[in-house]
Amino acid sequence: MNEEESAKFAEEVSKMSFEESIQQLESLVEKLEAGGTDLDQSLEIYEKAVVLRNHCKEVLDDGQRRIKKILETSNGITETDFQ
Amino acid sequence: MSETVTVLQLNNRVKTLLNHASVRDIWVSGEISGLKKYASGHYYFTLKDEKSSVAAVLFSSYRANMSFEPREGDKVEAFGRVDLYTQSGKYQFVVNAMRHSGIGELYIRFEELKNKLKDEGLFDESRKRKLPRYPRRIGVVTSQSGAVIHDIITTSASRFPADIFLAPSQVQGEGAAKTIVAGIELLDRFGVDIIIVARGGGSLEDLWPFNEEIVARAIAASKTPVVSAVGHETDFTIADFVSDMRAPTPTGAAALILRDRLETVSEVESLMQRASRSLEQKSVSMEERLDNINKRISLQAAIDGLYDKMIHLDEIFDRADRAMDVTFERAHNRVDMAANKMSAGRTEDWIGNKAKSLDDLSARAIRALRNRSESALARYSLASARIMPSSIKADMNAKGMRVDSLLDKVSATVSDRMNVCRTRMIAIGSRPDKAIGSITERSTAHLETASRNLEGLNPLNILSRGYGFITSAEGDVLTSAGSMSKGDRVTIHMRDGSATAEIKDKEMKK
Repeated sequence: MNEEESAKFAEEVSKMSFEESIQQLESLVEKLEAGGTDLDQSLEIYEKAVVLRNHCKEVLDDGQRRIKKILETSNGITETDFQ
Repeated sequence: MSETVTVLQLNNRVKTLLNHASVRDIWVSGEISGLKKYASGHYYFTLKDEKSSVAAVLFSSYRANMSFEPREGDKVEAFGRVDLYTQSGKYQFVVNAMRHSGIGELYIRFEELKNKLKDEGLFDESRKRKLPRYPRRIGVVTSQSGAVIHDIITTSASRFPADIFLAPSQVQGEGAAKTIVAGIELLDRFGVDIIIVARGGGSLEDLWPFNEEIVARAIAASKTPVVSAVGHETDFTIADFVSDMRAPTPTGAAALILRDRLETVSEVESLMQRASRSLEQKSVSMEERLDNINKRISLQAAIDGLYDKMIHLDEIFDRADRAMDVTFERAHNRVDMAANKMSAGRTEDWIGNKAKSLDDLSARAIRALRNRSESALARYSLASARIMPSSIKADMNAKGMRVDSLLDKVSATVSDRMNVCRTRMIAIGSRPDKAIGSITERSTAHLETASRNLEGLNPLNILSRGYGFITSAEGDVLTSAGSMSKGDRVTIHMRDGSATAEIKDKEMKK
């Protein structure tokens, strides 16, 4: 992948859910393991796998989970912190 | 005669009388009134209805068997027996178990609703939605004041990170079902990955809102998958049957929905390890292939191949040269031999013929040599073509290798070698002309010498110096006196004519 393609892929991944990321990571690994790809293709798959892995790790390392109470009011749905 | 007894004796007798089957192990329905709980854990109260009341006691050991806390005003059914407190002579109802009244009716309603919804197919396995493996947003419908929401928050802390959105609701009592329905609908609209409907343990009545039809229908209608986590593991509600998954407890729900964080981390890492291993294998096998290709197209191999071809070419030219030399040598010899043998009269013609055939021979030799040179050149080109850069390049491109620079070097070398070879070919090609020229020159010089010699031998030349020669009457040249006899007629040949003579005498040399 050239720089432009890498950036494009990274942006796609950043929008992916964790489930989509790990599923794509799984299918890329299976593709790599199946063989039949040349070195350039393999490298490209690996590069993508790294991007996906980093995205998964970011999600997993995110300790900032939100705990909110939601209520329906005349102004619509409101969120307030809950502890 | 009437018997006189003590008060204690009387009370003891009544106590015995009261231990009667008609007032033992029975259910009594009434309302709890004047409830007092003592530090000992015993409960004292009055069971009453519109017309009557009776003292009742619930000992702490029996309270432990009950699923609800007795409260003032509760309409209950109490199970127990009648007993007399001998110290005061008052009798009371000793409660062994208690339930809210109408419980039997609740069971009937539960079964009826369960069968109805089951017949509608609301419990079908095919309706159950798959829970997302990695939910990021969890909605919880439960009380905001109970332990349940805190249990869920605590349990989920070490698991896959997900935001938690609480839709507060009542979880027991009148109107609770409506707030549960509102919570499910709110979260469904708000947008979460999973909705947990939760409540801690309690009696059948406490859990009753989760057995209400409107709650069951709200769960069925939710677009978001719903997990029920109501009561203890042994409690089953209608909500459990209709939800997409039943968790044994609220804490269990969090563990069930959210995967362990560290497990997930190592799952991702093991995928990455597999990718690295594959790539490593790939590059090892690529290196091997590259080595192979390198061996096949290496510069040295190409040059070695060219040298081989050139040595072969030189050999061919050497052989051609040698063959030519031999041919010319033979031709030369034959010219000499023939010239020596030739009679004087035909020498000129012979020389003419031989010179012509020598020309032919030279032309043939040149043609043959050219042919051989050309075929050698063709073979050389063919050999070069095998290692031509274009074919290798196509091959290399297909393999995606970057060996252009190497190929350029090979190409330059090949072309250098080709030029050197061509120059040599031209030099060699002109050699036959030169060789034949010099051979022809040599032959001509030789022939001239021979001609001169022959000229010297020509008897007519000798005659001009005053010699003559004698032939017999038959025309044979006579070279010996012995072949002449007295009286023979001979002819004397001189430079300008001949004369006939007769042998008068002869004398032989001694």
